[in-house]
Amino acid sequence: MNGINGRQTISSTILYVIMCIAAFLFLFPLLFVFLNSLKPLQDIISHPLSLPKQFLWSNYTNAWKIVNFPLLIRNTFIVTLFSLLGIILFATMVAWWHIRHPSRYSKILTTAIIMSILIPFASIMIPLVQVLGRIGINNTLFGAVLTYWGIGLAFAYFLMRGAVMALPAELEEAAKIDGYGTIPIFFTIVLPLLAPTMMSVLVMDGFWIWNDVMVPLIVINNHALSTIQLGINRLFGMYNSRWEVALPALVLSMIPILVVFIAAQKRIMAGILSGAVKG
Amino acid sequence: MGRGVRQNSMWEHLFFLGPATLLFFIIVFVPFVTGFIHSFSDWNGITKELSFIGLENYKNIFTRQSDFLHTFWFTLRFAIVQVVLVMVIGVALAVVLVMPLRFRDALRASFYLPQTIGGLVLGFIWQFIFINGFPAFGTLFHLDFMQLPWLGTEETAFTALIIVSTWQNVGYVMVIMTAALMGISRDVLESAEIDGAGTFRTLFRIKLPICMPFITVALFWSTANVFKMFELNLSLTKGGPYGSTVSMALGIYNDAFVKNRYGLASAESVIFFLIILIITSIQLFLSRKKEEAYS
Repeated sequence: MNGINGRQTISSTILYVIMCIAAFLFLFPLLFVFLNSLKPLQDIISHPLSLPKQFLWSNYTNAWKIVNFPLLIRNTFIVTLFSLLGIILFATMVAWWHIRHPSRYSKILTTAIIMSILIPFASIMIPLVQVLGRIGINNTLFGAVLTYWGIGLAFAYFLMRGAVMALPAELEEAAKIDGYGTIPIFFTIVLPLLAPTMMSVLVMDGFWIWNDVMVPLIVINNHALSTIQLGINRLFGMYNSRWEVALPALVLSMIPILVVFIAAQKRIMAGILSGAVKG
Repeated sequence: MGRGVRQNSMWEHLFFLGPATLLFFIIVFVPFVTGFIHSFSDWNGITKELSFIGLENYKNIFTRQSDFLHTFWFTLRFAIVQVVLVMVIGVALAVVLVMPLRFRDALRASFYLPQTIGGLVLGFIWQFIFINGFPAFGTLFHLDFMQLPWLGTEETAFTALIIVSTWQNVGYVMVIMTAALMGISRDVLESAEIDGAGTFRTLFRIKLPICMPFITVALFWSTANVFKMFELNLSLTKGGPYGSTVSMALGIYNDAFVKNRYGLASAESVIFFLIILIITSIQLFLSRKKEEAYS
């Protein structure tokens, strides 16, 4: 008995060491970029492996100014926030209504929305630009937000349908008997009960929208409306091989994500998990 | 009374269904149909008039008058290699990380982290590593293969993309598989242990078959995801060298917005959609069959 335990401890220690090494190698690219971002350009190019002699934080202040970081963060934040709010609200509204009031129309719309999960963005992006132009909102942040509402709808709807089906209808019926109207019932009773599924949508779509390049690339031309991703992309076009500007900009662009991920790591993993398993 | 209720509920219908219906129509349905119509024209995106040329665009695609077939073969080869790697490594990590190891959550988070950073940024990070980091490591440890011009030749650029894409996406498979493995009931594993099944036998004969639905979910996600590759492609290799690593999505983007061949790009979009549709349908069909076989 003792022998078996001893063998298990040894093998699990070996596994543990292997996993730690693997995790370190996994994170090393990020560390490597961070360390080099603090060096002068000639050191980055001729001694990329050495530690920085002194920490050149001025690289960061330069990069901050060159890419106009506050503006990029503001734009990305606005787009991500409003996109998420809309996706969640509209998907939940239609999912709940369809389950509680099924009709022939709702069946057709359900099929159509779920089928649209299969449509890759690349195959609708060209005419979409024209549609946004027709409405008069291309080259605006709202144009990007509206696009995310439309293409984010399908997946969120799919998850929300499952969540609504699991809700007992008795609570809503009781509220109706008490004289509550449909809209108050939805906002005060249904929405809070769906919070766990909303978290899944929030997490998955949040990372997607924050990191997305395709939509801003085709919708937004105006530099003042650039998102972080667009700003970084343009920076690499202009400062090709100026690593002492490019590397700090990359690190800066990752900081918001890293902060959110480290702070809410468990919740994020759980949210992705439930989304992935249901999806 | 009856009329009052009906009228009221019509407004409610509009309130709850309106936004979603409108969004679906404006953002998805109309562009989808318009794109299909444009695919029969030679529109360049600038002129007002559409002139229709029948199946000319489609003919050009299949007679190699455009690069689309090339981007398809690249994406297909890339998807096969990457998905196999991601599945094997992701499942292996999940299997190890359900064991009671110290700092297990931190380890899991480390492997998941690249997944949260966007493909564009990851591509630029690795561009730096391939250009400046790898050669320096090669000199230090006397590893000749690291000194290759990684982003400069077709084979090495392909490998570079595979490395980065696998690194980025392994975490997702790991997370799904972790959930699957943790969901297996204790009774099944205990009875296997009593019957004297070893660790590997239990893994391949019991655990993985039980996890089959999850494995197909992960496979489904990975393949579809690889086929839609865009960001990483845009930043790491820019499709080069000599257009050898242009993914389908990047190819369509280039044709439409860089070369102003909207009509051709629209036809490519239609075929792109059909390819994704076929892949996902086959996968759904296979996964259902497998699930039936195991249940």
